[in-house]
Amino acid sequence: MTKNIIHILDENTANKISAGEVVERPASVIKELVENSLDAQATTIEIEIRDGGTSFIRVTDNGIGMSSQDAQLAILRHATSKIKSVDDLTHIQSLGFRGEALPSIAAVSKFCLISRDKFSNFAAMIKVEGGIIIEKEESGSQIGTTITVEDIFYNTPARRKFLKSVATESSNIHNITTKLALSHPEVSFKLINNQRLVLSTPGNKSLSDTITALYGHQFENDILNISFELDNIFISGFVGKPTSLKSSRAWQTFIVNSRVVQSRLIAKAVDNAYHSLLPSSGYPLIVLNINIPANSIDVNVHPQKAEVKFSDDKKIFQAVYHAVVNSLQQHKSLPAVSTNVQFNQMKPTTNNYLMSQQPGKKTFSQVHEEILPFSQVLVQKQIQDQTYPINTSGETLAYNTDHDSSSFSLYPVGQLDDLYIIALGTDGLYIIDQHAAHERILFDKLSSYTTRIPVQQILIPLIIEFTNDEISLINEYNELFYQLGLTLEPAGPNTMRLTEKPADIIENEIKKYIQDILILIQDHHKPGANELRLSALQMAACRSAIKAGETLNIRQMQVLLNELCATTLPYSCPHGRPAIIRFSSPELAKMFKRQ
Amino acid sequence: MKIICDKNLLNFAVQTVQKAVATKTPMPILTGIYITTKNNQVELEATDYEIGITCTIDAQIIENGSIVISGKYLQEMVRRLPGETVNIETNQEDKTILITSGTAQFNLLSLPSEEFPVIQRLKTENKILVKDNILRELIKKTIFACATDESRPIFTGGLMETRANDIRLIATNTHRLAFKKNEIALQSKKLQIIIPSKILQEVAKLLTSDVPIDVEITWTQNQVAFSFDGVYILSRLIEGQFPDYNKVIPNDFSTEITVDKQLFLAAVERVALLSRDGDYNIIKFLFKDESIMITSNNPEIGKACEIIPGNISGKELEIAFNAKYITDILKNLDSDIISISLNTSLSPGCIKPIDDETYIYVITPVRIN
Repeated sequence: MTKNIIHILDENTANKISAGEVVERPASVIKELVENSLDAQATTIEIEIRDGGTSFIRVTDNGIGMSSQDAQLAILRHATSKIKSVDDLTHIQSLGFRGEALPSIAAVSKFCLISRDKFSNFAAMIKVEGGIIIEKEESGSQIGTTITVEDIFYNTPARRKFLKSVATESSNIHNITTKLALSHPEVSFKLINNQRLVLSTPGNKSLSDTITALYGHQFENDILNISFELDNIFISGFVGKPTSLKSSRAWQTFIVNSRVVQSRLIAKAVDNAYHSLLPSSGYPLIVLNINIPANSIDVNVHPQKAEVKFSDDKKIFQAVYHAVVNSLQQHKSLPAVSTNVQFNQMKPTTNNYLMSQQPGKKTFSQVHEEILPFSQVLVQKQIQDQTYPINTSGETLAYNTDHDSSSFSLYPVGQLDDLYIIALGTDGLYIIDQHAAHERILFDKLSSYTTRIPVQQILIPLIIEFTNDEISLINEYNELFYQLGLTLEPAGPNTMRLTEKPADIIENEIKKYIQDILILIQDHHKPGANELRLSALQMAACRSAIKAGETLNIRQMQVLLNELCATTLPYSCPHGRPAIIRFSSPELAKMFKRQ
Repeated sequence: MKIICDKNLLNFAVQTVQKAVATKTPMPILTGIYITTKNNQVELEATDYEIGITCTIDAQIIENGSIVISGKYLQEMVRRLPGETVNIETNQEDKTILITSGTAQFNLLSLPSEEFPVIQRLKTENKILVKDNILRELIKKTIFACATDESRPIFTGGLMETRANDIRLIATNTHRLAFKKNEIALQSKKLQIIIPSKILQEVAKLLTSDVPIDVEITWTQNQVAFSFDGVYILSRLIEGQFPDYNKVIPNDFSTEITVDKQLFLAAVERVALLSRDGDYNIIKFLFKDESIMITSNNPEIGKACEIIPGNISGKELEIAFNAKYITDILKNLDSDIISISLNTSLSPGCIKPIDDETYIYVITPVRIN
């Protein structure tokens, strides 16, 4: 006799199980609820939490609301207003569409929904506990929706056990709210944690105002505008200057078609774009808005929709990369450098700090005006270019000489530790790391050669051993290697014969160079030859730059400083360490307690 | 020990072995020059374990013995001694060395002579004799082509080889190769060793005699020694297999050029002025009709162009080279007219003195994208 052991789970159990996919922690509840509010065209969203959202979450919006009937349907699984058929999935404009969020949340909490649309006189209130409707009645409310979630996971102790400390959950909520607010600058967000207003954005459609509201005024001058277009991919947003780096990716927000997403692809592209400026131990602040045709992404790969799939990874990568690079290079302002960062760390939150920054800010913009052109040097350069009618085949850098020139220059006064050059500018004291500065100069110089790599043939081929994986990569990218001046042909099992190499790379470093390229190929999603060259140049520049410990005379220092001021990005070495530190007069005054 | 010797002879010996005195070493004894008495002669020795040099001079021996004196001070001192002869004497009581010459008197502390790694002469049947002027020419005309970077150590040295009745030296850094051979008397032993270029340079410097003398070259599996005129130079060899250079030297050419060497060298040096940048200074050549156009282009600085006459047979050709590789060879060619033989802009070419097959220089072109 057989006994059937398979049976269909009752709906309540099924909901509890699947709730886990969507509702992982209080922050995911907030994300789902806020996305609903955004889909309902709300212009203000207020979030209130207590105990890190574990005991109480309330999201109130002024969106279009729901009728009483809709409200009852909304808490059923796969009930949604956002799509009608599977075809709609390919061009989703709304943030949600699965119809899972509300029932999932309701299944694992004490849930209360109050909603009124403009056609109803009363709001509908529905209370659900553990997925079972326990109360339905009419109530008074503004147009819009308010959802209260209490005692989350009260009926799923296993999951409750996995909640982190109240502080961690609070900060998760803070992070997700920040990102959601950044993705919708036109919506005013408020986050109230234990009855204290901890976050609020103006909702005036200005992304920079939103960033300032979220991250503080000190970033106002430290962010660069991004605006870029490539084949129907529109990228806008802001990126922090290399001088205001963060220790984690928490400060990076990627928004694809108004949806906050996590994407290793985009993060990698940003890192690579920064790669000539960025210390390995830091991440830039960045808010990237990527708009692409809805049919070229798939958002339905993850129940929380935290990840998206692009139909063309490579193109997205290139677009992000170039967007960030363009923005960094267009902006050549000199740093009101790291002193800011230091102060930042010393007194991160006091209002005092923000106040005292105001005068500093002025100096910065003055500097900014004065410095942008680096004009004299460049004008001279241009004159030179004119006198010798040389076909530079488009390699001259696009210098911006429109600005009127009160020239920027530094005057060396001495050298400290045979390493730091002390210099005077018109607006303060400068300390320059001579190695970093020279590295930057060399790097810029070498970079301009990347388009014409002379390739030296090798009379007696160099036999290099590789692993099987490396060999197959080399074969796959043989054309790229050829462009880089590396002609490799198979010479036996696990060995390749090198018959040509770039003239400037010594044989000793060839294998390392090839392996670096292989690593880059794997990381980079089919990089161009130039990108690869740049990273090799970093190495080369570092090697030949003057080292710490070399004594320089005043004249040598002056030459170094002049050249440094003429580089595209004078304020850091190619590895991203700062090259110049500036102490502005107000800052000095502050240090001497004159202010 | 007590000796009396001629100051100039002593000076010569000190300067000769000085090349082998170690400057940077954790072993203080190697910074010294070892002086020992032998029959009626004095032998000076220095070694840094890479190279060892001994030099034997006549002297009047009053008392036998061995001492080690700091090389740095001995060298400076001997040059400046006022007298015609020098007395060197050890003071047994306080272990110092008394050096007197004319009015001057020095009292030097002695290094422990028993610690000095005395140079052992090679005991081998492998030996050949070469005239010093031949050896010097071989070295001078090839060794500049050696590699300076250590990635493939065999190319930091020159391959010295004998065939039935010639001796040849080949050097390459894998981008260019210099080959030079000279006839010598029939040798019974076949030589094939790779000698560090640094050693060869030192040997060439020490081969200064006006009248040709015989240099005896002896070798074992990992050492080589040159001995002449009281000087004995011992060096390690570079171990490894030197590739077959014959495969590298091209034979058939489609473009042959003959040109005046001075004219060509001067033009190349001028044009290369603008391409001088790091290690690769690229200049382009266009061989066409009866002229050679040499150009360089440095977007940062400017352009240069020079056209000189030349005798060109075969098809016209445009090719780029590292200017240094060209000037290096031109400076070492003695003949007034040189021949350049090429095939395509991507295949190696040859530069030779005209009508002389004993000196061949192979150069690889540069590909410009």
